[in-house]
Amino acid sequence: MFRGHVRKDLSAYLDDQLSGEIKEKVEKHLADCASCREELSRLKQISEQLKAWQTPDLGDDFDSRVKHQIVLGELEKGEVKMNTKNIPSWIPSSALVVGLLLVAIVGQFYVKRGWEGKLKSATDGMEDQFEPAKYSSTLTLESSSAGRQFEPYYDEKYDKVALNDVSRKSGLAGLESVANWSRSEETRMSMPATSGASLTEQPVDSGEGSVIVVYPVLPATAQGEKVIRNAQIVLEVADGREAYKQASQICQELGGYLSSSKFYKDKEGREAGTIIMRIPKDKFSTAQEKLSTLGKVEDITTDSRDVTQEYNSLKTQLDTLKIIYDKMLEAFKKRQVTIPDAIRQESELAPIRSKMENLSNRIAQLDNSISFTTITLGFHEPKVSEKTLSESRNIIKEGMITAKINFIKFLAGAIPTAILTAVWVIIGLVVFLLVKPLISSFFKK
Amino acid sequence: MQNMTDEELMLSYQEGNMLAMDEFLRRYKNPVYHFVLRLSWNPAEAQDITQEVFLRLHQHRDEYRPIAKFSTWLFTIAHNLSVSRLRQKKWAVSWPRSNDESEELVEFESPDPSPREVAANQEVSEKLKECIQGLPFLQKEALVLREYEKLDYQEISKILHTPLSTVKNLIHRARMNLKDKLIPSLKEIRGGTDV
Repeated sequence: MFRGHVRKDLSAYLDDQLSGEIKEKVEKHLADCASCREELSRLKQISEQLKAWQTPDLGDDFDSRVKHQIVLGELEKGEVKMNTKNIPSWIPSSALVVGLLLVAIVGQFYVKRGWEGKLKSATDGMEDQFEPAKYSSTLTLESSSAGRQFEPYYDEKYDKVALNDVSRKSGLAGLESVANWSRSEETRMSMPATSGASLTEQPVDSGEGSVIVVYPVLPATAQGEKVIRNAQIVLEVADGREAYKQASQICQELGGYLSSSKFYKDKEGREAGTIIMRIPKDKFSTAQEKLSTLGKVEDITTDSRDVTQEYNSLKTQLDTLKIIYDKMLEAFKKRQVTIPDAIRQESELAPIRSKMENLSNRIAQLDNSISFTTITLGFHEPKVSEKTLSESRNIIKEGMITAKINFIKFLAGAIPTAILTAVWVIIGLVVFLLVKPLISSFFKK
Repeated sequence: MQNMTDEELMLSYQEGNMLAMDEFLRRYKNPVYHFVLRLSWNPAEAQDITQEVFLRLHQHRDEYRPIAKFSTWLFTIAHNLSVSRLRQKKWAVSWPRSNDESEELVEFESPDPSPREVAANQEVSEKLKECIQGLPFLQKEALVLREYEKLDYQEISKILHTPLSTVKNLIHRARMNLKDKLIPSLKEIRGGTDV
């Protein structure tokens, strides 16, 4: 092999990739062979030339894009389970949020004490009408919490935003303070108009000292009342089609819209229908009046549902979540993002975002239900309607006329035939009379 | 973490140390990108594949066994993705022209070059790219892994799933092809002087 040239091994030799024995032999050959040395030299030149070819590095955003993709992938798989408690990097932002909340609550508490006499009488009057635990924002704070650091987090399991005392690392109860908004769909209450939030105070024995429970009760005033109104009207109308047309027109004129409608004829041929229309709340009474004129009112029912408390509660939850979300986002943005951070950010922010969307949707739904009342109009023609009678009369009348015409037509067709028949009869008689004497004389002969 | 070997880092990543990804990115994002870019010469596609390489690293982290060198494992992923992409799209054969944006991506080390040298280097780079691009894919890949990533033949053989002797031949043939095409052109460009 080494009697000839070693060109096939030169590349590997150049790269120092030959085993000891072969390398030695190549070196020996190179010492004696100028041609192979020249070839090696050229290969070195090529290699040198190639080394000069530089390519650019990736941009700075590449890392975050990769991490983002990883996080998305993990979240899609649903494998991200992060411990939300005791995250030191949250402390600055969360402490700020909690600080703000504390200032607001303590401020309200002192204001309340200043107005104690006035508010006491007001709250005394409310106690019979309002169950504070059902639909209120409850913020429980330990009275000895001064100097501690809290962090807010969203507890998906219990559907609440909670404050975690991060100054107590372990060994103690995890949650010292809880801002908890619970929702109750059954809440129905009437409240006297008040000028601002009122507070009730309730001592709770937590086993760890005095705890003050503050209920910021939102006012349900006439000015801000949130009421969903509905009406059902049943009419007997002379003409179903006409009633349908007019009802649609009334709805349009009042700035409403048809939510759904149905128009049909029953087995007896009577026209009937149902229209569900959404009318602006300030036109609710007008709409009822106008619709009632379309026929004989058989039934009219109205009902209303006060959702003020539910509405305000949802708004409060949403506002609070927004503050917490913004603060968390702000805190995240300030930090250098690593993969665990990015995953934690997404896993922490996603449920809050989702909750915010749900709240916004629910509020939008309530807004629509409040600003547009729902009127369900049912109408039908009477059992024996004037219209049906009139139609029957017309049918009989038309039948009689047709019979007369047909009789005249019959007569008109029969007269020429009768005349022709008479002519032939007369001709027959004449012929008979003329022929009769001839026949008689013939038989006499 | 910076003192850890790739393999140690990977084991730590398998155990859930997500910070290891930062270190992997720091160590390997550019080598992988350069490798793919030199094969495809399409920066967008090269970025896309590089990103996919790191996503695969994450997704298949539990499949890694420390018997293989981490860099070999990573470049194997890059190779597989590149081959797959090559089959799908058929990477462009022609090189970007001098007025293309991509032209900026190619730089040659040349301290204080004269205007003439700059022009000559430009021309050399064009010729070099043209010649490398003209190589068969496996030759090009083997050469790039050797010349730019400094991988030994054993590693290249694992990455390309080919025997060691084949790798040796691939690299040799690649250099011979380049020698045949490049050296006459370079002589021409540099006015007959030896390159």
